[in-house]
Amino acid sequence: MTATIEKAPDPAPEKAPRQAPTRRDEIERLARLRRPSWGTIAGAVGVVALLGWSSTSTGFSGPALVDGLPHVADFVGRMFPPNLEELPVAIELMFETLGIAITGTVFGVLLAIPLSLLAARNIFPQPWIRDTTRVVVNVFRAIPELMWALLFVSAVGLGAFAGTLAIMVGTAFGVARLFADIFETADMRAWDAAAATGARKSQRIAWVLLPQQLPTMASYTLLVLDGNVRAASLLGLVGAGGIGMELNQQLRLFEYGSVMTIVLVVLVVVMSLDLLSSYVRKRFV
Amino acid sequence: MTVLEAADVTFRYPDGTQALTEVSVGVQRGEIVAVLGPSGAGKSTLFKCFAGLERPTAGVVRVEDVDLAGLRGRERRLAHHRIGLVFQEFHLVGRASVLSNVLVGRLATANPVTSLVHWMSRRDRTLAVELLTRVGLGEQVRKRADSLSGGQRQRVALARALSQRPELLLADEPVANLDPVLATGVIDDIVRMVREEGLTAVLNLHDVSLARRVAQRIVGMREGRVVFDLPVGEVTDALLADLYANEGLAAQAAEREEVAA
Ligand SMILES: Nc1ncnc2c1ncn2[C@@H]1O[C@H](COP(=O)(O)OP(=O)(O)O)[C@@H](O)[C@H]1O
Ligand SMILES: [Mg+2]
Repeated sequence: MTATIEKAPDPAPEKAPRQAPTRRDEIERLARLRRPSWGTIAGAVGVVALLGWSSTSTGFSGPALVDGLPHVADFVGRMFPPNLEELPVAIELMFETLGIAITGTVFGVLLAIPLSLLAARNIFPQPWIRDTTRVVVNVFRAIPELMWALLFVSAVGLGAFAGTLAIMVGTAFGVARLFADIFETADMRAWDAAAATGARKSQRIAWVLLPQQLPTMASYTLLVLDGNVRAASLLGLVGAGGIGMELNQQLRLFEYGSVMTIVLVVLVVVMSLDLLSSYVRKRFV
Repeated sequence: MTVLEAADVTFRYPDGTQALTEVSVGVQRGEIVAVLGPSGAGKSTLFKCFAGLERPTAGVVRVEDVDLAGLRGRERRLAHHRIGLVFQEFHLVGRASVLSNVLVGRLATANPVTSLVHWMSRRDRTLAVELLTRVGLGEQVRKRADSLSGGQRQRVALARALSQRPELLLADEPVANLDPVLATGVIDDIVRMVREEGLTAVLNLHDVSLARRVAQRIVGMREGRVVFDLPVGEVTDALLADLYANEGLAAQAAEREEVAA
């Protein structure tokens, strides 16, 4: 997607022709510029009020944070040295986590393609198709992966399968919206030419639209995969498989050395994946 | 026999612009007709009406005695399939291979399911490669369409249109995007292929010398009306001068309007 944000040209230099202003003029002009408008003041008051409300509702308090600092230091201190005996388990579970993320992403994207086609105005011009699909997609997109995981754990039981389903469904709705936007920005000339040869819509999708948009789609898919690996490492917290389950367990056993090992493994994998995917994406587009 | 017929075709765009006024043209089987006229004369609009891409506001277009506007679904697709189109800007899938671009012309009659995974019959693939070879692109079959030059791209588009095995070939300013030397080569290729395939062709052209070079008949258009419709030998310089009269002035006026706006 190449959304071009038009930069509003800075009007100041044009309105005030460049003449060497005296220091005093300059200061006064700046002083006037710095005077906040009523809107700004009202906005600031609103933000402060919102912050106050949200921090009281989360029990955020300065003294508690200060009191807690020694505990945090103690916690971090006990994480060293990392427990290397945990390493084989952590690696094995990281593979499971990657498996959940990759499988979920692939099937999620496959589900997203038909949804996004239905939601793209230039592919299905009938407003009721597009609008219905968009509403469904937007509603389900708002459900976080962890919630899907909870749902699927109660549906199919504990384990990696529930996690995979959660990632798949989360991806399908998230990516459907992305792909629909990608399709709507497509150059339709070849599509129209193919229509004029008598080709069916399904054939035009397979021969014109997808070949044109595949690099952009692949690039976004890699980005989504990154996010899904992060999400999959947390799914274990609700029993949906992956490394998060082990993390939860070691935390309960106060095995902070093992916790450190797990965190390090996640860190290394997520960072390498990040590097790899940004490298691949640069080559795509 | 009349392959293409426009009877009193009037076309008005949604914004009210009347692009065609009572245009009547008939094209016989095997004829090559050039439509000439200054920019804004209505050539592209007539092309769209001929191709069934736009429906005339009044009047009727018939291709082999069938009015495309009256068809729906499969019948409509198959009627479209019998008309090959070539556009000024090629309208290819740049990221796809040359071969796959040409095979698009075979989709209408291919298996609707297996064609979705790009599986095309040997006959279709052979035809596509044969056409590409005949337009001089035998070596470029596997290349990406956007790696080719403009002249080569238009030849790919020509091969795509011909792969439909059409009865009629319509081209809208097929060489306007090419420099003059290339343009002559591409137009000659189009006409050679039209003759070899025994097709009927209507070519919208801006360039008088190209039209005289390839057409048997020239239809002169101006301001949405047919000004003359004559065999190429009877199209005099005076007629052409009239056709393009004040084009420079009109262009200048348009430019002044743009500047004023
Ligand atoms: N999509 C459109 N909407 C409104 N007016 C149009 C549109 N396309 C073309 N026209 C107008 O119709 C007239 C004929 O245009 P066109 O058929 O493109 O001429 P030509 O191809 O001979 O240059 C012109 O006045 C043009 O401005
Ligand atoms: Mg035109």
